[in-house]
Amino acid sequence: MLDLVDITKRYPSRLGLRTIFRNFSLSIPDGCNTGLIGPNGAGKSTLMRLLGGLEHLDSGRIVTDRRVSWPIGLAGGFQGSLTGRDNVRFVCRIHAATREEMREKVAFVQAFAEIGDAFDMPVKTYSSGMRSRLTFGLAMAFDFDLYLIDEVTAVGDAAFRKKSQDMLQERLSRSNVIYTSHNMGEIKRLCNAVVLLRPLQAPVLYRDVDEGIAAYRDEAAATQPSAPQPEASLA
Amino acid sequence: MPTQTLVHPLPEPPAAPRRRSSWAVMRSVVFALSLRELKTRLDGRWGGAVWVIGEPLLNMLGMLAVYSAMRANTIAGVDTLLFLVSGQLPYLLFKSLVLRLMDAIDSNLGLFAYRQVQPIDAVIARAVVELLVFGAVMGGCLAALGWAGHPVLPHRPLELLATVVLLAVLGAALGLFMAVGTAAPLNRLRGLVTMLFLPVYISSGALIPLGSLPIGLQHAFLYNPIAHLLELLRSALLGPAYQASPGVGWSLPIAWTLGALLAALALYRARRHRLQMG
Repeated sequence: MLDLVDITKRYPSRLGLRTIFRNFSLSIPDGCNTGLIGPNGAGKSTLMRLLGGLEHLDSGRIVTDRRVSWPIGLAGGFQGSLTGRDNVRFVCRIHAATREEMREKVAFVQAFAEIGDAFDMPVKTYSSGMRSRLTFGLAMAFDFDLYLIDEVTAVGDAAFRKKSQDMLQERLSRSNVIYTSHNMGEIKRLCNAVVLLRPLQAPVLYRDVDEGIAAYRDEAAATQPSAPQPEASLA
Repeated sequence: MPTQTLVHPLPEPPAAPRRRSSWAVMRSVVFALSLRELKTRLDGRWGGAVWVIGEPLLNMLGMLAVYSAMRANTIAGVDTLLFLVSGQLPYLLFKSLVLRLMDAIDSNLGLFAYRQVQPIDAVIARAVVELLVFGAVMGGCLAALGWAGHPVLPHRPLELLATVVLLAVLGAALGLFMAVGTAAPLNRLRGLVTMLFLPVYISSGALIPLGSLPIGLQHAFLYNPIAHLLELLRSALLGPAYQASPGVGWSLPIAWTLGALLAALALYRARRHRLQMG
């Protein structure tokens, strides 16, 4: 169970306070692999960051008894001047892994990411593909009840994509995911529920994925032909 | 919690979910960040390690060269080397604490992606590493001087410890204050902070014993808490041989330290939610 109770989130900006969520409530039942969909600027990334504990609410509460991952695939998560190996070690240390666990996790990430020597080179020298291999491998080295994933399986070459999809599928047998993507095929494949976010509107949870995607498409189609609307340009 | 007995195809223990106290989380984060700081400080090469220790030593050697050219074998009653080690080195500790802590949050922005890592952890970790480096350099210098026959055993060790602690806390507090105060939109202020160190350095008495200055200048310099701390440190280390300035006291540096710590923590508390955004 993951409950967002009456949350409000604002950002200070040059144009004054910008409200992302206003008195927003959402409850995601256990067992839901949730796809987060919505137009740019609807707050998908902000919601991920809030769930990951990186941002603080202006009011409201997020309540859960599950172990939630960090947001996987969003920018950040690595110290560029450290090697891939040292970054993995860092994450093990902050999760209080024992020496033994750390050795296993480092070996796992190294084997999974398949980036060869680059594992011992500074992360800032990585290509974006190598980076996402490391990102995904690192996340899969840890057991969480709920993974927050931001389109990360959609990167990399075909072989890696296949491998990471299989890995994620295997993990979903005992964990759940909140997944954000603009690729509806991915959402359909992974998720059994979707949450449709729209700028400054109440989110809607659809237990039927197709229904949610249809609602999103209808909305996009409805706003498309008209001239830019103030809400649409909020992104 | 019952242990899970799932069989995984991967070498991965079924993590027994354990709740850690905030204090335990913070300890492991500060430890992890300290190792990360040490690693980038040392640069993974021997050259890096040599430079970390060598930079302050080189600075001391430069100053020593100046005093040698002036044929100053003793300064204010103590020999030049000890005078420098007891003044210049602690000053460098203070300065590098402030200036390096000022950048600590920005250099770890990527790591705030993990909920366990808070901005103040990065500042604390960097302070720990600075203190370790300083301890190594100071210990090495005193050991070398002692081996060469200089009187290095402190006359009043507890007072010496107290001055070093005050200096470190004051430097760390000002560093935290600057790190938060010059965050995101105000980054340009950092150049100004660096420039402010010139008057602080000159009036700190790291290079010139305060007691040798005209009395009016001494009074002016003694508005600088670092000047007090360096004089106290030298008296504690060198004993009556060192002629300290008569106006030196504990109250000003202690007041500065507590005030700076309070201001820094209050500013951090007020701004902490703004610091994690990249």
